[in-house]
Amino acid sequence: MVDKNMPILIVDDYKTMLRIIRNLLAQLGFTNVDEATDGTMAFAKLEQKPYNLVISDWNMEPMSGLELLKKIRADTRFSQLPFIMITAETKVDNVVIAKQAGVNNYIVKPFNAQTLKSKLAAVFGNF
Amino acid sequence: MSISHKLARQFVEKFELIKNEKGSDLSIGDIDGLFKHLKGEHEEKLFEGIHNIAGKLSSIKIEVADPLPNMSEGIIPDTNMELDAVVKAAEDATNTILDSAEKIQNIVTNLDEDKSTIILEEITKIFEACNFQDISGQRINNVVNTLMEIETSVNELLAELEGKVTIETKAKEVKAPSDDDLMNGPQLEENTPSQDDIDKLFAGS
Repeated sequence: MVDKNMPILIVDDYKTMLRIIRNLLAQLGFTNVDEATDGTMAFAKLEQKPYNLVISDWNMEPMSGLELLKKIRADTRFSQLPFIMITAETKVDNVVIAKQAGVNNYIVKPFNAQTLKSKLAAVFGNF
Repeated sequence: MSISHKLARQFVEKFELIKNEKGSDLSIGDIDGLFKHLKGEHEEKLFEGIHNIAGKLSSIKIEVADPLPNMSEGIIPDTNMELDAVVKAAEDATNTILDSAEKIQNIVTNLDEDKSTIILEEITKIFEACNFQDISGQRINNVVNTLMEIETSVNELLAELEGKVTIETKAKEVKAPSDDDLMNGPQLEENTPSQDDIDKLFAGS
């Protein structure tokens, strides 16, 4: 059973997008959500507090979502941390590279609440 | 007919004229002169064509800038600023929509369950629709970057034809794609894998 109070870190350089993801998560019952606007800030937050899930955009500066994913997977403290990429980068090469880097799931923008729910369920089980 | 075919045809036609005019006095110098003459004409037409393209690109940039909101007070010096203005306007509008949706969402919790369920479903649709702001921003970025690349190439070509610079061609190094190389942004729907296609990739090995 999914713990809907689990801490989730969402990462996107568009603050509006962070707001949308936060609201859609709230609609699904997940309200314990923190935000970061790039990979560097996200990694700093991971070091300060335990999270059960990272949902990240890919295209960010200075540290992209892919770089964040690789850094997380290379760190034994976070190597098993579930990571979902939400991005408009839909070329097959990108998806393959993200998958090889250890992403748990991949959501294509624009997305809806149902897609978000199904990907969360794919990672944590149905809720 | 391609430019090279036209050039060859012109050469043959003019060569026949000179040959008929000079007969046995026709020299290698005559042929060389004919070739240089046609090549000069050809380059002039090419230069004129590229100049027209450069002019059209400039006018496209002006047309893009014209309908921007709140920009009538000054000249926009840079395409990136134009882009930022478009993205900012969309972001402001999106935040206004989100403000209203969140306020309604908070009020709805006090209504009876049937009504609140219906309204919350509609609010979810508003949140989902607001994805457009991020996607449209990335699409505009792609278009403007492409426009700027074309403009740079055309200007370099023009400068070369005017003899101002020489474009050096360097052999491309073969290297693994960097993170930036992978950044393509949103693609048109007909050219891009759907969420279902991506899911199949994940389901595979």
